[in-house]
Amino acid sequence: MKTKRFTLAAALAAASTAGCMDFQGLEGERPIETHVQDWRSEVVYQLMTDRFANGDYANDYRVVENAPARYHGGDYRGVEEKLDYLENLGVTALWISPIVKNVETDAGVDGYHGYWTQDFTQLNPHFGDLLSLRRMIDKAHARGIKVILDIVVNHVGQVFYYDINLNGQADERVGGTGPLIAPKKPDGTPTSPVSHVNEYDPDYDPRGVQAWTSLGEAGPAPIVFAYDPESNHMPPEPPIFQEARAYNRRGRVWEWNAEQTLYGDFPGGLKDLNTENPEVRQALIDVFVRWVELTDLDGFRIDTLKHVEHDFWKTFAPAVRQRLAQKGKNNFFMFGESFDGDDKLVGSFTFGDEVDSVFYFPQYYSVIRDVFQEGKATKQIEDLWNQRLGPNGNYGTTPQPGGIGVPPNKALVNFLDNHDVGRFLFFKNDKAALNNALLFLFTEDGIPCVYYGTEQGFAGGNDPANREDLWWSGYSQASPDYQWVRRLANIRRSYKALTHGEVKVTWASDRTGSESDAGIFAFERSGGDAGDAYALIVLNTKGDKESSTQFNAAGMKVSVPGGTAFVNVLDPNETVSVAGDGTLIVNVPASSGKLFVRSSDVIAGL
Amino acid sequence: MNRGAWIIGLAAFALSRPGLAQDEPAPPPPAEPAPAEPAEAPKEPAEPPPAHPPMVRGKVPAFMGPVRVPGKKRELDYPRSSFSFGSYGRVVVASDGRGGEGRDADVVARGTRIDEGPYAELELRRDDEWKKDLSSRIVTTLAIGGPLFHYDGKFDAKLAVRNLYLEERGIGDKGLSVWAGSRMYRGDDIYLLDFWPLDNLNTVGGGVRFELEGGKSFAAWHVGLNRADDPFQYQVRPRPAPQNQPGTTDVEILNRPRLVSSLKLSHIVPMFGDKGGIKGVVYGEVHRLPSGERETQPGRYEDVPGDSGMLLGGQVGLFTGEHDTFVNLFFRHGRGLAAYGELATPQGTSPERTVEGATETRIGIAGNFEHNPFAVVVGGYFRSFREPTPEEYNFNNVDEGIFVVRPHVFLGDHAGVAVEGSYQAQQRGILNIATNQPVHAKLWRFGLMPYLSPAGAGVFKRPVLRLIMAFTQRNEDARSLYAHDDVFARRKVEQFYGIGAEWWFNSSSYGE
Repeated sequence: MKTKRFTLAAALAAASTAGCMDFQGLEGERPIETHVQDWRSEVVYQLMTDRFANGDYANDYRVVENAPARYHGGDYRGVEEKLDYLENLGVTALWISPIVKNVETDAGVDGYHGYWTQDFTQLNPHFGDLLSLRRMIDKAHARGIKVILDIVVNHVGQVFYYDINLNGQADERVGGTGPLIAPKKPDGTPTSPVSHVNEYDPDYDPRGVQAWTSLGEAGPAPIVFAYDPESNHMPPEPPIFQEARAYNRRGRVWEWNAEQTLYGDFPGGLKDLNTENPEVRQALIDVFVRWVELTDLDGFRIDTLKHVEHDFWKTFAPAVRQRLAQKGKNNFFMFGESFDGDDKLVGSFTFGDEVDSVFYFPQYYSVIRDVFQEGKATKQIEDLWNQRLGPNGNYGTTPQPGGIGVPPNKALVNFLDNHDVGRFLFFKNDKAALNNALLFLFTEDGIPCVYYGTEQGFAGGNDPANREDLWWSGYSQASPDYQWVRRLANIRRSYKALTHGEVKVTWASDRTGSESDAGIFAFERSGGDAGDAYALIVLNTKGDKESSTQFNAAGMKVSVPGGTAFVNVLDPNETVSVAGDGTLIVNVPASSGKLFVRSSDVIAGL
Repeated sequence: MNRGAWIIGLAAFALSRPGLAQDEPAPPPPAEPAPAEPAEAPKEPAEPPPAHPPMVRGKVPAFMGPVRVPGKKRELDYPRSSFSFGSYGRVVVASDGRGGEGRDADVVARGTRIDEGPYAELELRRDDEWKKDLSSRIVTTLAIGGPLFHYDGKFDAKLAVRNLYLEERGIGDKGLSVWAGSRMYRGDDIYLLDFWPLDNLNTVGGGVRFELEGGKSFAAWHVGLNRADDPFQYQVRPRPAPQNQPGTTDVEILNRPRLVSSLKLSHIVPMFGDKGGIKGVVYGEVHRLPSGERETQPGRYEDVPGDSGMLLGGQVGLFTGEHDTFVNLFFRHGRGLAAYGELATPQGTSPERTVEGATETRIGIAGNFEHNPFAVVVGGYFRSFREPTPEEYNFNNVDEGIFVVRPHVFLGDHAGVAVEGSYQAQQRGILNIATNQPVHAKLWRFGLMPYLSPAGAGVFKRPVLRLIMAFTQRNEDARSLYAHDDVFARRKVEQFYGIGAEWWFNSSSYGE
């Protein structure tokens, strides 16, 4: 019996010393590596982690599924469980929501989206632990799927208030300062309609938010960090972000001019970081490089790019590239969001050591909205592209040093919609138009990005209505929308001209009525890194009539010799031949498109 | 033969109850009363000693009988009644050596007793013997938790009614007893850990126990209900008063008590000249929770599916019958709802909102050896718990264990010194983001307890007055389990300098 007692005791001691859980090598420091050769070959899928799939019901605290602005329960485990769904769709890169710990809730709205950072060093527990994040990324990599992290450096969540009336408490209402401080319009009316001030979100003041008492201004308003563990309005981490100097402290933007855009708090009381401060810059580099080192991420989607000065990006981006390269990760992709239709402004971040690419918002406005949804002239597409591809274009034409090896103007991230704008079908409830826009998305140059739910025909309006729970779709892989995206992704992957070919517009029209070519837009993809590969895309953006690539008896001139036979990949039964004069006239039904390749290049079964 | 078949039938009946289910994460068990050893109560020779000598069944306790006159045999008068008071209690006050309060530094669910806080049970008991071999007992046990009024100045107390039941014995067969009410229902413990590793149910219900002649074997079946005040089982919402009356009335949207049934079979093989023996126990539980619905938002409801679970376990013990020397080994495995304590509710569920897939496994050891003037008492357990959620990596998934050894030296009959060494560790299913390694909390503890024991020399002699000195070294992960600003999140070594008292007498709470 003594022996038995000793044996059990030893077993107990051993078990309690070693632990029994199998962490599958997900613990500890792990090497990181390069998973991408050429980002133009990727198909990005943007998902909101909270809304994509719920795989772990243990982290479903404060979940209110029927409230669009509250947590819904999605997590990394859910993403992992749906990798089959994503792989079958043809997705090769996931863009996931910010992972860092957020302010939990504010004014009845939750930080489910991830853009309200409270602690840069901790994970948002709603989405899972580092183990589940690592495992999800590992399993994605095993399928050839890369993972891009959404990051925010412009601001943090609503972590402090301006003690405007110097009473040491956060007041909801401090009378009268808005119109007094705000500059007046020429007619004398205040530019800010605010007649009272919330100390968490006061109006922008170029001097910095000022304290104010009944006797008038009283100097800069001190900032006071909130301390409410329940809503996680807590002093931010790492500690540099608990210093006043880490913030610009000028209050909320009320006019999107250059100064306020750079230095103002983002609406909602999101505190603008003083990214000119070297300590802040270094801290931001450190925390985000660390997340890549921990999880082997493949890229950053950078929020609110234009709200941060160029000089920051010239420091941040090279530092990230350098540090990751030292650890063995190259081709790390950094693309930014500049929520603006100003092509020159958006492109300005792609020069001189800044980001590799940007989210192509000007195209969203000028093409997706204006042309595909509102039926404006396709000439707008050509004009926009010329600003990108032409001489002295708005976008960088040489790869960033140490970057992805592709010039920014050929690696823009294209999209039809995203989490910040209403879905395509919300603005134009026409599946044919959507499918046509998707054809455009998957055949133009750059990198296509599909917003989750597009493949299920979601049609939500503006934020947060456009952030539906994907699980209500049942993750159907048989739905026509899913099958269309899958097919387009497959075609893009199969024809190198579509990923690497240079772009040449062969037809664009400024006509939108009953003219023969109204709504027609056609472009070639060939040459360049695609070598001899060739593709011709012809789209009819008109929703009410068939159009063709001709006008006033002049047909579309293409770059291949006369007599070249084409097959429409989307309908292999359709073949056409280039006329002897090098022209091609193609009739395209309303809201549809054709994708021609040489008959000798056709890949069967796509 | 007939009795044996009946016992087997009972077991089959209880264990065939519907299915496995899942349940909630096992929150730390409620503070449980330490085992009480009624010093004056007659001991049944065949029972394993100690920690808690069982209630003597089918016998009239000596204190209940009339005064016997030597040399004269007289008839007993029936009915006869008695009223008794029993208690378990401990009062401890301690300093952390830095001017602060001494605190419990354990990381495992059931840590060592050495730094436990005050707790007491006051038991009031009425016994009636209606005729020979036919009796009844009414037990009321009030439990009191700290802090005490004399400590914090708050004129109140944490009170709970734990036992409140009636037991009747000898109806139909002198070995048969039945009971109903609220009852602590448990077997042998690991004294050093204040932990019942095999069976420890707190329900409102009833049970039957049948003991074979000689008291060496018994079967006990019980069924009870729990309804934790948690949205998993209970939800109340205000609704407009009926009949167009002003105001509101509370409506129970969800009210689904958990049904818990247990069966225990115990047998003792006599040894050591019938003073000691080998004790074997087979134990099982089934748990059932009906389906229901709850409101998630005003006017919105979701179905809450039913749940179930099952637990099987066993115990093997050896006791000498002398000097409280024994060793007990425990094992149990629970699935579904039975993986959780009867009053616990889950943190995470399966995708179907059930606890199917939850598991808990325990193995434990308790033992004592005394050879005046020396003794050594040991305790330990290993526990593994998994939530039913498909995600294996979460905070509530736990592997943990502890081993404690406490040698005593008796300094004469009324004093002694105990030295305690222990090691405990807990691994959770997450990474410590600071170290990038699994959270693996560990702590070592060394304690010294000189004590006075008027009842004599022995590990389980009570009452005792004692001084307590304990030093606990905790690793970084142990500290990481405490919130920012808690000194336990910073200090590597904890000290505990205390003075305390512990007693138990005449308590029935620890019978089977």
